[in-house]
Amino acid sequence: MTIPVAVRGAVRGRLDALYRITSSLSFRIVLLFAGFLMLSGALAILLSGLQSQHSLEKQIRRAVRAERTEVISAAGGMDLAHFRPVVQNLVRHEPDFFYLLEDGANRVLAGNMLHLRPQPGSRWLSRAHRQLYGEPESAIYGEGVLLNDGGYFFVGLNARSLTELRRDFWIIVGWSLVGFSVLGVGGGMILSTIILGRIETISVTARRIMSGDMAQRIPYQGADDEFDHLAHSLNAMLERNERLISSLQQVSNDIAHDMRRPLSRLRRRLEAAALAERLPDAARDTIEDALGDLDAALETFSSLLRLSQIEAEISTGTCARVSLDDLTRRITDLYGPVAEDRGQVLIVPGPVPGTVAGDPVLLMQMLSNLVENAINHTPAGSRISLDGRLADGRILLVVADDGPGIPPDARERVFQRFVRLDASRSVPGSGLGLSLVRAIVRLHGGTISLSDNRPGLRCTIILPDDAAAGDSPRSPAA
Amino acid sequence: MTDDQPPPRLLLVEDDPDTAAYVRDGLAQDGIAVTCAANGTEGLSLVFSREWDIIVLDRMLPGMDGMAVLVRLREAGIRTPVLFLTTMDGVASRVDGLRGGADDYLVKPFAVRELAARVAVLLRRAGPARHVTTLRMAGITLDLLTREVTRYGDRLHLQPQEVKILEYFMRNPGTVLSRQMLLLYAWNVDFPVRTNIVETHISRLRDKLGHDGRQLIQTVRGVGYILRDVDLDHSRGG
Repeated sequence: MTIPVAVRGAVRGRLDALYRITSSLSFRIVLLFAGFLMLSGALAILLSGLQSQHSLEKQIRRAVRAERTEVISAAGGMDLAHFRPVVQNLVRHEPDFFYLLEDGANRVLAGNMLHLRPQPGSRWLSRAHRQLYGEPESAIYGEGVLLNDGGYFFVGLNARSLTELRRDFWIIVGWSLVGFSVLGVGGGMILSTIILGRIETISVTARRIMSGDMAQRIPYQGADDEFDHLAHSLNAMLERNERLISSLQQVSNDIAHDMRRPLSRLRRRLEAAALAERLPDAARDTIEDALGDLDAALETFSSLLRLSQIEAEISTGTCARVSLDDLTRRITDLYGPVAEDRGQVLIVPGPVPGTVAGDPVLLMQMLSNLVENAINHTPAGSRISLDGRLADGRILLVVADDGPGIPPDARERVFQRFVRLDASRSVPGSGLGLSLVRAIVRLHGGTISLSDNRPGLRCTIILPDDAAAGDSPRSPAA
Repeated sequence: MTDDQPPPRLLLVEDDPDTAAYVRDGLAQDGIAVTCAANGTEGLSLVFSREWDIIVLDRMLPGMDGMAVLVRLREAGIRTPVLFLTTMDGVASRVDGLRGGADDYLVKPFAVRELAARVAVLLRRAGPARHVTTLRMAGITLDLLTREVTRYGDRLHLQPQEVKILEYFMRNPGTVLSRQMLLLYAWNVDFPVRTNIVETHISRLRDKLGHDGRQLIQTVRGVGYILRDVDLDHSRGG
């Protein structure tokens, strides 16, 4: 018999949750606390138990001593003849006490016990001893007196209450240990769940912010507790950061925007200068080069503005169903020959499935930038691959190369604006390519990550598959 | 542009006098008569009062904006080719412009030669010769239906994109086609590329066209490429 996958999944989920709780700091703190509580509780129980045992024992001793004194005084003489009638009388009238009167030859003359070895002073008789009737299970505490004529008199009291007290005491100790541990572990788990829940809220928010949603804030629980205070401080910090970042972006956009006018004018003047007749070829070349540089600067500004528009999720107006197979085909048509000329190979192992709802030009730019990066940053002989597959209604798109790659600590950084790694300084570019790629991926509801292709760089894009969403209403099963 | 034909008339609706002067001077070299309108209302009244061969419309205009002018003139049934000028921060404007009925768009700031190239193509597009099924030039025959290309009767094995580029050249012989225009026409790419894609593809096309490929498709420095009908006997004899 097999366990259904769903059940196994649920069990695994539970185990994971349990592991998360038990490995949490709060759980360990509570467990430690419970341990101390258990120890001190056990100590308290032990002390009070010993104390009550002691006082009970004292009571028993006192009662036995009093009875002995009374018997001796009632007998009036320290020999068998004096004791015998007293003891016989007491056996009939004092059922709580045990009496024994033996002669020198250990023969029982009176009493309600079997014979004992004559031994003066106080003694404990274990439960196997010597009583003729009553409960055989309880111990007897008593005192013996040696008589002048070799006889022996013993008076004892049933110590059942003491035995029971002892037994109950250990039961109490045992159960309270169990109780303490259950309460400790259970309390720890409840407390951890509560605290973990609050911490999880914070980390979920942090993750959303890291994935680009700068407007996310940590929700308050309204309890005005330490977590709300923490959330308040963190939110204030996030507010400030967001303001700083957006003002920084605003400044860069403003610069890009404002620089266009003078740069355009500069461009026009250079063009006009190039048109002048009788211009030496060297001067004309210089002007052409200057125009080229200027165009590169204008292009950077234009990319920057385009980037901030995409990031602001301003609708591009076009929303088409873009087939990834078609897209990758166009990319290979476009870049295959370029790669070939550089001694590289651009391969698409198979048709790339999936359809994305989005802007065809932006999606083209996304793949184009990645492939251009691979072409520009890998040496001749490199192999660049473009592959894709469907998984759970999502499209996994992988652009990989076997070039020098990007060190792990720089993989997140390269997505930032204007970040160019030292190794790629010689390659032309604005440092906005990957920022644009990520912005486009996010605009289409996807994620992008860089990893090691062993060797080389592997860029994985996950996009929602439009076919999955679009086909389900039409399928008869739905 | 031969002398016996009247020069093409271009209406430029642009509020920035600097840009207007730049366009006017730049296009004058190509023999295009440029008339300027400084705002949308003036532009629209000029559209309705005279015949134009091409209209270049700025998107951002005081009063009535370029988009509104475009929509109004298309609603009035005027089919004159329109080139839309947009600002470069407008990701959406390329779509808006084309959707509003523009035939092409150019992002500001632009090089005047780029504008001239696009204007030339639009002027040609407005001309007749659009219903042919075969393009012929310099010994090249391009069957628009089967997409087969032959040179002096020999079948050439071109990739679909190469056929597309060649068709673009053959539809606009003697007209400079810029890199941007080629990228947009053949691959729908309207973003900056950092590899020499156009150069690579043009050089392959030249190779496939034969030993005079380089003379057929000539490089115009700083702008793009032009297809010239070279003197066949000269090229063969040389």
